[in-house]
Amino acid sequence: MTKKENNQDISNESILKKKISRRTALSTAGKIAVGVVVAGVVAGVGGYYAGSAAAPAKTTTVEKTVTKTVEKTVTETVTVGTPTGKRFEGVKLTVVSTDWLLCPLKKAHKKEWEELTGGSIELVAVPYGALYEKVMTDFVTKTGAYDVIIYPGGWIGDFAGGGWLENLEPYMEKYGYPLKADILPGCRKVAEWGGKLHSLPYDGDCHLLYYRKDVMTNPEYQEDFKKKYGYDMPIPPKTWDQVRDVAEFFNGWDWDGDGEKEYGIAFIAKRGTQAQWTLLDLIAQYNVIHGPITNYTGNMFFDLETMEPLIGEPGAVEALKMMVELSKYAPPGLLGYGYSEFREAYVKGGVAVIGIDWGDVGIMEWMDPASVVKGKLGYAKLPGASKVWDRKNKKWIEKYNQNNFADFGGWCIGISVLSKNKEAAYDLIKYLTSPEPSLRDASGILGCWGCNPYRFSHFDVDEWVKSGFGRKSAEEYLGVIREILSDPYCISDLKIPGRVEYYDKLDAHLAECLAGTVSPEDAMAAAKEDWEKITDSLGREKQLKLYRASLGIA
Amino acid sequence: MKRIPIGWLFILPTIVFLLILTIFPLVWSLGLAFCSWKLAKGGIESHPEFIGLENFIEALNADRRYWSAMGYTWLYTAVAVTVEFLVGLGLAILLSFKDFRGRKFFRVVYLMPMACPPLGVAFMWRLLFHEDVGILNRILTAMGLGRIRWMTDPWTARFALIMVDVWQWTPFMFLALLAALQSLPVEPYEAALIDGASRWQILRYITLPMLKPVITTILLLRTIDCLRLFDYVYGITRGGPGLSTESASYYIYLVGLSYFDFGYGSALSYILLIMMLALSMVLILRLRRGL
Repeated sequence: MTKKENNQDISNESILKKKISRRTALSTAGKIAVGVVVAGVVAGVGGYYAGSAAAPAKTTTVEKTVTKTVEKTVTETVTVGTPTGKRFEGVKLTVVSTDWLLCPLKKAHKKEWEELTGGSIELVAVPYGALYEKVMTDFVTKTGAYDVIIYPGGWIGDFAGGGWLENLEPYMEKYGYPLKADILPGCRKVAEWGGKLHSLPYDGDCHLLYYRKDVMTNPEYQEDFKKKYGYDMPIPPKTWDQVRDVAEFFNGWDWDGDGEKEYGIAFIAKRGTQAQWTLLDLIAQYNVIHGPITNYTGNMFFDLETMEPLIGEPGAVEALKMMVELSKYAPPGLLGYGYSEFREAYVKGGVAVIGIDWGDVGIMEWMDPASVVKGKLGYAKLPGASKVWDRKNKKWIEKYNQNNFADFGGWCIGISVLSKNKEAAYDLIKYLTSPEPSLRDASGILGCWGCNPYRFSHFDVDEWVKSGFGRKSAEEYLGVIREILSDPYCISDLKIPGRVEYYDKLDAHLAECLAGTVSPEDAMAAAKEDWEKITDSLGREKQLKLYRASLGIA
Repeated sequence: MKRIPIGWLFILPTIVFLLILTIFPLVWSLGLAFCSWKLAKGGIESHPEFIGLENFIEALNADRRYWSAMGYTWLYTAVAVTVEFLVGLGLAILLSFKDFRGRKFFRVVYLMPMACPPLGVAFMWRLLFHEDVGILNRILTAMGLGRIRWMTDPWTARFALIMVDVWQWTPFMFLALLAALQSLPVEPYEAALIDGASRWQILRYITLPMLKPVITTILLLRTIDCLRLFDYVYGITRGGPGLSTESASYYIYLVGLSYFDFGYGSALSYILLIMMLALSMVLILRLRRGL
């Protein structure tokens, strides 16, 4: 046995002894408590090879028991093998994505996988704004330049729906997949098309409300706030009205004593850089009645009978009005804030009390050496609205309405149908999404951000503390994300063909409104008109069928 | 036996090259302009379907956004090319004086912006223009002049992009005009001076007419280049704030390579191309007739 093989054996032995995650109890809106207990294995390379049919003869069989409280108990036999052969010697894979999604590969996983398999990986980094174009151009021209594509899950309608991505279920059957039950159901849903997994989840996405708890808990400020608004400083704000009050209160003065003026709120608002999701955060509260998915509840984008866009409804207009109002309490350069600018300003510059973003700000808070907000941030789910538009009865309902929304849908990782090395490609994506490597990505331990928790095992607070998070922050941060992504009524993002165009048109009208060139009413009416045109150009019946299917409605 | 002229054999590779890389895409995209071909509709199974003039009718009658983008593109072109020409001409005349000190230094300095890749320039200016952390506003604030809403006010953003173009491409005008000025014969100037012509008369009636071929060429080149405005929009504003800085080319890019609506994108491209050709013809004719 070579020294290397010996090391691998030792490594695997230690992996076998190690209990990689303590699945903590998961609550799904108080209905189902899920406790996942792992008796045995799985971690790192061992986890990756679990169940692999390609694993060599020298194996260890371990029994893993997954207990799902209330519902059922599943026992799964997992085979952990020791990789000895260089199975993909001479095979070269090309992986395309944005630079920040490729960051973990650059820093660790590329080398790891290459050493394990003998294959090689070429990474092609593309700016976010050009990724869709690059990948689609490759598909259309049938070039086959990319084997593995890491892409926003919302594009699955175009990618898998267009027939450009491999159905991964046969590969999973043949080569196995580590701990499928460990994937958060909401994240798994994003990677499915036509009920089949056409990608593997690589990210769990939702917007959070970030707030400066160090500032908001200042007794002097709390007293002044109460004097001005007549109620206690809401920590965290529960409604957008409260967000507006807090933002107004802290806007335009030096509340952190650094000699510079700060502001109330900041969010992504620049045209072409995902600003429409901030608007959708608000639309989810003012225009969608909380509840299971029916035509009039839990349904955000289109009428389930006619495919009429819902963004022209009064609730959506109200949401945009609120967004415009919030922008008054933001830094003057707000309309120039893309995701990079916003995160830099919020984490490194501490410019605002409240921020809205995906999980990335939380990671940057602790992992970015330039962070000035380490340990100072609080995390909360999206605020609700004090009223919601009832589309069925054409009237406002005066009640608290709060919806979680899986903005963006998370990044997925798929294999191009044009790839000449599909087996190797599957091996790579299986490795990248297996528990241990993916935990390193999600927790930011590699110094990369962009990939947020999407497995139950990612919520192991101890692992996050090891990676540098403060314990209390890790508990709060993970708790909020878990609550959102485990919510059975969490609204899924749009994922039908044409999403890029639907969203770009919405973004354009939002940008016009934020720039003050059109009113919220006109902006949303124009957006609705554009969405109707897109739907017609793509085939209304077909789009309706796909939209219903994307929501799990026959 | 009939001989094949040997000259044809030598130019054959160029003709083939031209046919493949220039003529074929033009003809193909012209064909597409009369088709409906949207990838999101049929994915891997999608193919062009002939629809006649529908794309052109849609573009000419109903696409408000395209014409808004077109409006900005023309405004951008008119202002940028005019300013670049006037500043470039002024600098060229200034540096053509032999007694101007430091002319070699300035010649090199003025050329530097032109040597930068436009997208790199775009990202550099995006940082400079940033309203909260950008160096321009920091300098203005330090001088007590307050901030400028470079990228959040529609009209300021429009002119900010023009400013970037002027910064990068004035050197091109300057370089071409300086070279032309230095190659002009001295005799007409000597005769004019003997006849008592003023500096303005010399410029108006001797220099500019003699520079006419060069001016025609550079104005034409810069006009066509400006009408294709894309890099600065993509790199700096993405068409914002609102749709205020969206150019025709950027919109065509979105339609063709973001929405993957190849047919409609081709039709929009051809409308722009026809307008560019028309403008070029007018410009050439006017400049030939006299300034």
